[in-house]
Amino acid sequence: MHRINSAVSLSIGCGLHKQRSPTTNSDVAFELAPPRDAIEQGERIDGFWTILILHKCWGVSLQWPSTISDVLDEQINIPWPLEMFAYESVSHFTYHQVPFDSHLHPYLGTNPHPPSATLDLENVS
Amino acid sequence: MFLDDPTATNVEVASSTLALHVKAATLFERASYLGVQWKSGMVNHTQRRMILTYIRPNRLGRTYTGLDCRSRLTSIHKRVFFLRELIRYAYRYGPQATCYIHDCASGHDPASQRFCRKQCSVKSEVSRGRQSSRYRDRKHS
Repeated sequence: MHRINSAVSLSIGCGLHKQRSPTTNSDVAFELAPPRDAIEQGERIDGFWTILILHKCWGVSLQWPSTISDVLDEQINIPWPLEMFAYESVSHFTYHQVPFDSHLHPYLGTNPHPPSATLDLENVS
Repeated sequence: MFLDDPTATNVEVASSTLALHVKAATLFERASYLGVQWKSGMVNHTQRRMILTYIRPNRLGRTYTGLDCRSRLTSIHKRVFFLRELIRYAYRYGPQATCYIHDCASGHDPASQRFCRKQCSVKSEVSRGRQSSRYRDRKHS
């Protein structure tokens, strides 16, 4: 659990939980270089969601209340993960019309189907 | 089990298998958190109804009849299905999954030295260094 918390802290510190926008100023502690291609960006998205899965599952298994779950759920605004072949099949990976709000919070609330990310399929190679 | 089936994305709207797991883990964690709060007497009426929604699927129709539309009921049923499958998964593969002596799925914790009632009384005798004749007979049979 300690290592999972470290992984969560590191991923949040690197800003993996937020959608990168070129127009907004970044407030993350460690600025990662922009992803070179769609696959790298997809790996970052999948990596963060995998860390989150481990964090939540181990929290339930060990019955340790997660103090950051509520805060984290409200701050995450990266899209839902896609299959890896979807990342690979897109030459230029852009998300459009993804609202700047949480994805997990409305999912747990009244709206069972939050707006999911849509790939810009115009640039499918 | 749907977690073993990577194509089982029709239970809930999910963009991928990983998204399916994220949603299920999130629901599972939230239901567990609310359950702990409920045990501690720290839930209000709204949260209590939410917990009942999660853990008592057989009474969903009675609870929500006239209050919510059919689509919401369907959605909640899907979520409850998620949770039930995940709880089965956790009991099967989790750290307290089975009695580690007999693999009898009794769900006892090896660390607490509690074993299944049916068979592990024999193990408790062995752990004290007294190998009973009953144990020997069973072992060699």
